[in-house]
Amino acid sequence: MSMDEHELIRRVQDGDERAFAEIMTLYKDRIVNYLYQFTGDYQKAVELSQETFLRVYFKADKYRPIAPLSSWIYTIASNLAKTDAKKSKRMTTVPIDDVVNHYAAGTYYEDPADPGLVRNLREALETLHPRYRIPVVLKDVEGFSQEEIARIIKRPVGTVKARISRGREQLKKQLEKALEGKGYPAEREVENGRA
Amino acid sequence: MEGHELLGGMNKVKAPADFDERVFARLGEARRTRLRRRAAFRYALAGSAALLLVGFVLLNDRLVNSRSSRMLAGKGRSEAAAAPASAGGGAGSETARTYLPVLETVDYSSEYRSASSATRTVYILEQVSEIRPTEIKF
Repeated sequence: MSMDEHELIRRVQDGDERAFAEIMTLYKDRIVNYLYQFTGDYQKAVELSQETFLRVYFKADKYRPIAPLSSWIYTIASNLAKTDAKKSKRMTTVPIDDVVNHYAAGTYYEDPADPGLVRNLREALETLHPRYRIPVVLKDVEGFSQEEIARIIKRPVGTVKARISRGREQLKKQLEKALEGKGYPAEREVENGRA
Repeated sequence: MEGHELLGGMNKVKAPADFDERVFARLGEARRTRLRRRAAFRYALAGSAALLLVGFVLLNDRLVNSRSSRMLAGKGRSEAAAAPASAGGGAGSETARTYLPVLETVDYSSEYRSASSATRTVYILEQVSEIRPTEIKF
């Protein structure tokens, strides 16, 4: 963690709202994007991001500088996303077109070559269990290392590797099914006998 | 190209322009809610502590009363049971069961003999002889 971030979080612990605003400026886009990739719902991603930052503010005194600040913030966001996924077992999705029309301020882009592929990819991602989706998104979308993901989801690196591998495998299968036109059956994913 | 490799090129979104304002608005609201909750928690804590105290005092009062009466009854029973047992009688337990402790004050003031009014008995011990009566034969 950089000295600046350490200083910022220390000031937030003292109740400094300007330091909190700076942290928010640093991380809001990343967190919103991460939660959007996880939920597939922009509004929900924004709400969960706001909740994440509220927790950062109120739980700042519980932060220990043994891990980077980003890991801690992503941990909060991941936990909130998981809780939300449990609450609404069936994720509601907003079509990308609607989102683009609503927030047409240049914040989105679609792959002009193949917008259908992006949609397929998103739908395939949404079929993944949160157990696999979180590490896959953190690795392949956010670009975290396996060690960082292990810190974020508080699991051993071996477990993270296995989950990323399994998640990618399932993603590939889902994409292949989509390309064949079979759609996305609601599969029950099982890991070590647990649903 | 693998599916996960495509993920890196997926749509990137940004936070809306009014994100900070909305967070700060929620922050103020959350602060007020937390204050309200904290106050309610304190009142609830004080109330339950008071209830506990009252309950403890009431229960303790009853306990003290019942314990003192039990102690008195127990003392009387043991005394009553000891007396016939020492006399060799087998009806001690029966006596103890029917024994009722009666406490009464005893005034011993009338038992004292006044030095002036009572007749005095004087014993005079006189040595009659130093010789031991060894020669006397019966």
